[in-house]
Amino acid sequence: MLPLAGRPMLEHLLNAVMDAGVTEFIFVVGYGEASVRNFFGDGTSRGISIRYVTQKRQQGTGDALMTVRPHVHSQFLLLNGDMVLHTDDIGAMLKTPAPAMGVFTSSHPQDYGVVTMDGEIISGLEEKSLHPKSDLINAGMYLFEPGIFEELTTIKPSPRGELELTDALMTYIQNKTLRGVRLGFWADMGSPWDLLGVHEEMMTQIISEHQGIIEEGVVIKGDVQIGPGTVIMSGSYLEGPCIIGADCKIGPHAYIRPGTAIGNTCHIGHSSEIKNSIIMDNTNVPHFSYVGDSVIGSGCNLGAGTKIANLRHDKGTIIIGGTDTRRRKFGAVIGDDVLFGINCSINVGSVIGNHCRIGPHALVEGRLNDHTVIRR
Amino acid sequence: MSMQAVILAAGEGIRLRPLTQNKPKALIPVANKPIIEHTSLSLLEAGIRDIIVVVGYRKEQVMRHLSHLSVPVMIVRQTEQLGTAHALLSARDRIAGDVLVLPGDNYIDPDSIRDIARIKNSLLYTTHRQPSNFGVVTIEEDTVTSITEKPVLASRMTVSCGVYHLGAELLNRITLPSLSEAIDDEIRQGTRITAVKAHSWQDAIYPWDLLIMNDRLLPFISPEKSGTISSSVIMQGKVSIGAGTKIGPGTVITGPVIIGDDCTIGPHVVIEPGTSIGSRVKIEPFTVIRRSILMDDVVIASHSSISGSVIGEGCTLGEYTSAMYASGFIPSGDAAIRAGCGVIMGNGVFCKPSVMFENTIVGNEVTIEGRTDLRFSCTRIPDKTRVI
Repeated sequence: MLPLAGRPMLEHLLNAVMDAGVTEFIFVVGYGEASVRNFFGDGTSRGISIRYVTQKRQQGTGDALMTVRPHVHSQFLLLNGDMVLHTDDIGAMLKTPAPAMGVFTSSHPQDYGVVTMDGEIISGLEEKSLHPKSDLINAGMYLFEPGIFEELTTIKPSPRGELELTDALMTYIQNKTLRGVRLGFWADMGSPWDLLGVHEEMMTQIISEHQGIIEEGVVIKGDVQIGPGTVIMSGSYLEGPCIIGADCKIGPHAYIRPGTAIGNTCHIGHSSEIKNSIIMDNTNVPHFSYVGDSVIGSGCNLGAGTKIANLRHDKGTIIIGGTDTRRRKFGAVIGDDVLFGINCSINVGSVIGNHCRIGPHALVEGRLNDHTVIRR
Repeated sequence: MSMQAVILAAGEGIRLRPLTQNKPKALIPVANKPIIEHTSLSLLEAGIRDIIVVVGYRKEQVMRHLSHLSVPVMIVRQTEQLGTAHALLSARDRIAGDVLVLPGDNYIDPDSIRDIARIKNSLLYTTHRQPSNFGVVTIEEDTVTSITEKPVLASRMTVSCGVYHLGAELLNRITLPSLSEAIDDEIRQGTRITAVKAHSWQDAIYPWDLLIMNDRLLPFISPEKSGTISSSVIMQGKVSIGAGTKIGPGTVITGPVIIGDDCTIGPHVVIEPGTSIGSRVKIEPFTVIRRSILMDDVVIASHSSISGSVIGEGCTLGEYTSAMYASGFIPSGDAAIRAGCGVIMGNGVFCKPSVMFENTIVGNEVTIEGRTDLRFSCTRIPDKTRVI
């Protein structure tokens, strides 16, 4: 449900699949179930049917798929909810005989499950490895016959104690029946920096729409979406593409730069600059702050003068907990309900958990778990 | 990969006493995780899922710990500790084919496990400065020509890591109680045993070796912070702090350092690299800790200096305690062993203020009281001693 260009990630995926002609959906939900149900409902408003199945245990992709067994009796498309796809690739997938798997050419295959192909047929699949055998990766999109459920009953739990769908595919691979469909576009949101990368791209496609009140002396350049009930106060300077949700208060004298998506009921106040960031609902950046290339959850407050760094002095790529984000500019990832005192400095690549409390004038860096407190 | 692995965790590790008096060697925490957990994680990372653990000495403790692991393991009991091959054979009924055998009290990296898993009938070896504490192997090309367990005079610096990949046929032929003797016997019968060089391996024969193992494992910790940390704490390098821990103002921590849950540290404490601190530990102001392992529930009062030390669970050290690294001989039975440490302390030691330790082993539940300043150097204080 994380927002991308002002809409939940899942809605982008749902739209792409709908446009490819699919009308019946089953959502396997677990964590954050209520928010998904409330947002999408039964699908009638979109002219489709959506049913929900709850995965009570988080025991792997195989287990998640097993929960839909009673509801599926024909060929079906299986998709991970945390990725972005294009409609024409989904269309191509639907024309392929099942079983089939979507594959994508990646510049960093070592971060994913890697596949090797022999013509159209997938000849091998290996989990994350430092020395991948090819640059083709498993995109997490499959076309299956109900026979897959039989395969799933034969596999053993992985070291994580989870049933892995990929283990069930081994029989298909051995029998040379699993087809690979090369995708033209694919982006996964496994990590917040992936989110920001896709967000940037999606923001270029938005269309200008001004609702709410725009006071005199506001400068708006490029495509900017402003939601109902929002007030943009004098002296604010907005550079599109950017999205501002409903019931927000922006300014006076706020500077909103390209790539910014602000949720609903947010306050971006005087002398605050926001660049290429996602700020979720009910978060305030009221006075004298800089936020760049960051993702901030909902219900946060940045005290006056709190700033987020987004560039290293050596201009190197930013590494978070040993993982290279491959981004030269990246600020921080901040969870929900995080409160900062005045004049905090947040260093590049910080990851701050939910419900953290940071006292005034603190330097925050590295990874903070949920409920961490930094004080005088 | 459908390979099975057997972890041998039945032994006590007598040379690690007093630390092993109350828990087996495999459960001693290094970088805040029992040694056996590091081994299990390496196996998982190398893709080996089917794990059997042989338990014996204080088996209830090992079993209780294994039940908390995120991976399901099978547990087999060895009724008497007769030897490594005997331990392996206690799991005979559970082994389907070829098997990987690993000691539960050594650190082995995933790459070495991947390498040895590829070659049937092989053993992992490395070079060691004190080979006579281990099984010394002679190697020609990449074939093992002999193994001699703990020789009086070692002819080579190459030692066996105690990690073997054994084929099902070889396993069926084992009759001797010691695995190295059984393999040596096999070599003499003409079986080819391939020698595979280890990437990273660390055993702890004596307590001070735990500090070397700690040095080796700490760089892999994930630097995550929790708890309540003062904004004037200075942290550099990889530092991990557990939930509920409070770090007071002016504390300086230089990683790699790991600190467990619910500790109280500082204000004004200095923690230097190579230090692992367990849970519920209290370190009072103006104390410095260097390259040491402090287990759970330790209290170190103010103005103390602890370096190169291993402090067992629940020890209380008074103000101005000083443990300085020194090397020299410590009496051990009728002989003496060469040691290098500050102090190695068993569990539940109480130590009055202003005591100095150098290269000393203090047994479990020792009480050091009295009024005069005391200095212990190159000595061993037996369990439950009262020093007045």
